[in-house]
Amino acid sequence: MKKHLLTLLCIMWFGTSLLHAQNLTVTGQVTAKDDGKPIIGASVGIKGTTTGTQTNINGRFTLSVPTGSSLTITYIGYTTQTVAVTGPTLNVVLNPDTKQLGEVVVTGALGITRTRNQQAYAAQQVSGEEVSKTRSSNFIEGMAGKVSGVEIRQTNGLGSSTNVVIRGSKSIANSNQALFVVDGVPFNNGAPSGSTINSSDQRTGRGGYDYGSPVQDVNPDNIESVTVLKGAAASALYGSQGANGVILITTKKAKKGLGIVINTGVSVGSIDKSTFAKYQKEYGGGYGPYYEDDSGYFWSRDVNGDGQPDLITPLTEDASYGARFDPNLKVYQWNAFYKGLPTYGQATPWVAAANDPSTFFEKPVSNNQSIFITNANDNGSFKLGYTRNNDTGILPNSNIQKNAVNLAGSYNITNKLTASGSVDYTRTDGLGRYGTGYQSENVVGNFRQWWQVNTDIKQLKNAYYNSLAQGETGNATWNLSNFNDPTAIYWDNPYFGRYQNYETDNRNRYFGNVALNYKATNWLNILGRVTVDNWNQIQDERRAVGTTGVSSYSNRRTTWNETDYDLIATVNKNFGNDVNFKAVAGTNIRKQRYQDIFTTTNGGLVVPLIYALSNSQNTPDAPIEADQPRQVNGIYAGATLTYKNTYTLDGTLRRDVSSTLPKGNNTYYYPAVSAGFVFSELMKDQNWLSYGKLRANYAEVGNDAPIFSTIDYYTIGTPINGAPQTSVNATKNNPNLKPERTTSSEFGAELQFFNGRLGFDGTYYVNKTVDQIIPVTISSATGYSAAYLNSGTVQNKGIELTLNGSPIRSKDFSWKIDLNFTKNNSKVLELFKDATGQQAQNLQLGSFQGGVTINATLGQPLGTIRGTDFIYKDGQKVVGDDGYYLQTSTANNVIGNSNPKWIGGINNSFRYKNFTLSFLIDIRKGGSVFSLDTYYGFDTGLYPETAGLNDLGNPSRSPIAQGGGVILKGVKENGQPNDVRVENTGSGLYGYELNPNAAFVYDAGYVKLRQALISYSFPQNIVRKLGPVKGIDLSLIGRNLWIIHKNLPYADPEESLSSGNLQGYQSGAYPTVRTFALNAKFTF
Amino acid sequence: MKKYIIALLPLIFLGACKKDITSLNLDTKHPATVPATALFTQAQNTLASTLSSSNVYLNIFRLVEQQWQETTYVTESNYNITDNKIPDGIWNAYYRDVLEPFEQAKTNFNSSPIISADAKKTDVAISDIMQVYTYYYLVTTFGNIPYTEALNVDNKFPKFDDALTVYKTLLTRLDTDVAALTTEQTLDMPIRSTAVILMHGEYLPIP
Repeated sequence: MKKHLLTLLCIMWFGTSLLHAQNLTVTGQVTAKDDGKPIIGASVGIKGTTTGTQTNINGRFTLSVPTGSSLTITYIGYTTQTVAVTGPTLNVVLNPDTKQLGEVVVTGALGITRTRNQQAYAAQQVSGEEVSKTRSSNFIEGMAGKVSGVEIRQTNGLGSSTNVVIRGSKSIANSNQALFVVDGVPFNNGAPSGSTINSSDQRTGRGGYDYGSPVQDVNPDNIESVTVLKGAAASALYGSQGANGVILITTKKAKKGLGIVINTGVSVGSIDKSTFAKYQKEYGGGYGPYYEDDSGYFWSRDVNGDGQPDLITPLTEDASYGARFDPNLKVYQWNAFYKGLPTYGQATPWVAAANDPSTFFEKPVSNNQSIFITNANDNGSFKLGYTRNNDTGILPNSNIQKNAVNLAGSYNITNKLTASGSVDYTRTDGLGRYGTGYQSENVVGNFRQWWQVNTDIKQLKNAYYNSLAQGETGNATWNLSNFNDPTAIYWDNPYFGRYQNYETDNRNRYFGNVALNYKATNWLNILGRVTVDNWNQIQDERRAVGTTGVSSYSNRRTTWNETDYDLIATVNKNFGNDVNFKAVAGTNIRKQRYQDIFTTTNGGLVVPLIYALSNSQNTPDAPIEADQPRQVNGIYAGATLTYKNTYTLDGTLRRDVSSTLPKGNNTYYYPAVSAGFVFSELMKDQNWLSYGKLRANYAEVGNDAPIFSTIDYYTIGTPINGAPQTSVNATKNNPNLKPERTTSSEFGAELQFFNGRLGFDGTYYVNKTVDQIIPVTISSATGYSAAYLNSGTVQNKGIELTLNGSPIRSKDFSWKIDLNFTKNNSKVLELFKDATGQQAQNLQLGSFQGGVTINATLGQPLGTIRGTDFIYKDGQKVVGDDGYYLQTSTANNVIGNSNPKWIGGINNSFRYKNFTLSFLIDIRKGGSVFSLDTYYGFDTGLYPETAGLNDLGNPSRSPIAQGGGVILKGVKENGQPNDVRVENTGSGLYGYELNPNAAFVYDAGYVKLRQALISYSFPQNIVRKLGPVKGIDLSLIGRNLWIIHKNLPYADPEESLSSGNLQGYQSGAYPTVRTFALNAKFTF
Repeated sequence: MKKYIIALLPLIFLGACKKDITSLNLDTKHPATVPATALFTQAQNTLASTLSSSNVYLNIFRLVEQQWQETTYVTESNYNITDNKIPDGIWNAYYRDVLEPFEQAKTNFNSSPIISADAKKTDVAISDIMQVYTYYYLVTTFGNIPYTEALNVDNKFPKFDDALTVYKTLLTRLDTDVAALTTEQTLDMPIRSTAVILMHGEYLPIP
């Protein structure tokens, strides 16, 4: 739908001039030639008079016209048409006029609009329709692969978080997430840092749930358009929050006339098997030939009480390096030890399970409905919408429901003063989000790393329900402590884990504002506005009695409150014909408060199934509280001067005072200057060039300190024997912190050719962030493990290219193609120096299971993965005398980097009459990821690589004496090819026991067919017969359809633990879900 | 014209109105100063827990001596101390979680206005003995360790001292501390006797 432009004059009054002869009432519709869609707000006037009207939300108009006259139809971006009135109906098709491309209005920071000619920084716009057409409840999914310069990583859990970074990570320790702004006001996406609501344990893979990104509370159906402001010059008016780039969301505004839109849709999905494990089916449970019977692969204990020892699977061993399967061998397995099962007390054939863990996943179903009612007239406007989303996940007992209400209204008190208000309320209820990281709640980690392949998932499901029916806890696990002791030693029955160790959460979010807008003169506008962004969330996490380890219940309550007071004056004045002057001056007071309280039971639950803090074996420790207020007072001004629509000069300056920096050093200034030159205005005679602009800008942005980092605090612990305990914090704070600074320069060009059929937008940027406030890790011999310092410089240089073309454009068929490409090079230029001038070489950002760390390493892109490595000779891995790979004795070698070399997207869209087909391919080249799943899973022998036949054609797991064993690929220390055969009879050869971390670092590149869509708009002649219905659109959408290429085996390279700065590590990676959705949209 | 100036005036006022927002940056949930006894107790607790811990990330010495043996996951029993970063865990526990709180307790005892000069001497001496005890474990585990330049956060790259020199220094330091102990139990001792959780707060005579 086309936007209503501000600069268009409304001719609304009917002249009382003489009407000669009769008047004819003419109705009709105005549509656009390029896509056939109705044009809203087109001006329809009687030629030669000032009488006229505008088209409404459906592109229709009604006008009383003297017979014999002509109508002139105009709309920005399209060639004006004059058509003679010949009858009561007049339908007009307008052709795009690309010579007016420069007049298109674009939205910038603070909602300030300007024409495209006046915009001298890189920004890209995506329509709300484009973003919501995937029908996902997470609007960011609709942006992936469509905007250059923006890297989006979506994790695969149900309702899980999204990482959005523009132009590379700049900050070593603070958030790098883009700032989301809704209708001019920042929309919180995480607390206390701006990037996540997940705990630090969760982000470093130690377990926990991914509670998603709060920006997912934005309702995609309420979005009119999304503008990405990529560089500091574009976002300087937002102050420090805008340093990472801004994603500006404009919500739908009511158009003249009543408009009702109803969407209803359903989708089903299934896992993409290429992103999940495949199992070897040759060998069963055990770590090798170490046990009690003659073969060494089984326990030999008396199960049935007849005095004779029986063969039992080594129940405690969570690996599959056990005995070779033999259907003729009967062995007591886990399912023999639970009363009520058909296999109770029976030895069963020793075979691979018929139902391996890939059968554990369910088919997720989503349904969504939304209704929006809007209306506007001369006196005001009104919008009311309700949207509901219900999603189930691939794991049993997982469900997220979202309900959103959007209400907005405005009223013109006088013709100069308008009052407006809006409330967006979203409620999210989650049940059974997926466990992440290295914890028994993460069933996928269990399946990928520690499993016995003789264990059948369907049997486990029956065993769970059977155990409940027997009055037990339900934890009929395959991993018993002994045949007569069903305590789960390491792993629960996965169904017990999902149905009994589950979380529930709910979040209420209110985002609203009241505003008064005063049009003082036709060139001066003053806006006063108060906005509140408030969310409160409750998280309950449960571990039931009977689970492995200690049962528990924990409760966390978090509140975020942000209030913004804005007073903004804008000026837009033309001086003569050639000069246009725009200016803005304003003040912004931002008050934020984060409050959190976390309590957990201590020592286990007393009464099963009661999840209350009073139900604790030992007295719970005192709750952990946080109360973090913050205030930033800002004042800013900016001016844009445009000469002859060709030359633009723009400057802004913002001054911020922040509460988190020490007094005397808490004020900082952000200047920005940009210049644009629309050279196509000087070349109007060249028909092949429809638009050409060069732009350059420079900006400086600052960033304040994390809260409470200027004074040292102690933590009060639980008293022991009545004596109080307090501990020193591990990080030393710094009373002398200064603000961080980012300087950014940008050069770009925008070109359009052949009447807009071919377009190009390219930008080169250089960003440098200095004086970064980092909790520098230092030797704990100093008494602290980290100290806050202004240290560290990171540079990001890169290019962004966008190419779009319409190779075919006719009435019935058109083809549009959009390409985008982003290459960002990040480099850590400097880390901290001590008083003697010694320069640190590395700063650790996170340490993970498996001994790998993610770091900022001097001279390398930000985000290096460090760990143990192979020893190489002439590029080949070196093998020792014993035939195993040699490893470095150091654990800090750089073995990978999480940053991609480049990312890109290809978006194709075809239209044939009323059908539209589009598909989006998303590409990422390079970058590394460490997989804890293969680190452990190859060790425990779950995957086909660890079994099979060796070079002699014999099973590799047979002893060398029987022709088995493996010769590892590599060279001996003398440089000769390796010829030493090693045993593969027990765990370790392919996994963590005998390989360095580098063996499990993979190239994380991919080519994905991310979405494809077919839609059909019912033609007007059918719709007209359906009464009040003005339009029906049906669409079939597929998401995550196909990973065309990837290098990471058994997993999705995009999957990660959480949003935030720690990327490049996977532990219990969830498979990708392929979904097909059917949606119907009705417009009234 | 006057109308517009009046309309813009609030703008200037809002910008100028600057109540002290730095006071927001004081954490109301965590104290900035604490009694020295609380730090002392916590440090003793951590020291005792670390020395007796069965947590493989804190104490693998029962495995090293082969008193205990790991079963399924035999990494540390096989003397592989890099996979689970064993040295880092022990180092951090002793320096950061034990020595530093004892150091801060010493400083706080010295500057406390409540206790008598004699009691201060004793308290500082006791804290120092605990530090000697901790450094003993550090030097016998790691050999050369930072000692003279340790526990000073302004020096981020403390140098390693020779192990034998450190050992000898510890012994002379111990002598000084013992001499500073008074055997009298003064009236203000009871508070601190609950703070000393080893041996139930009784000061055993040191031979």
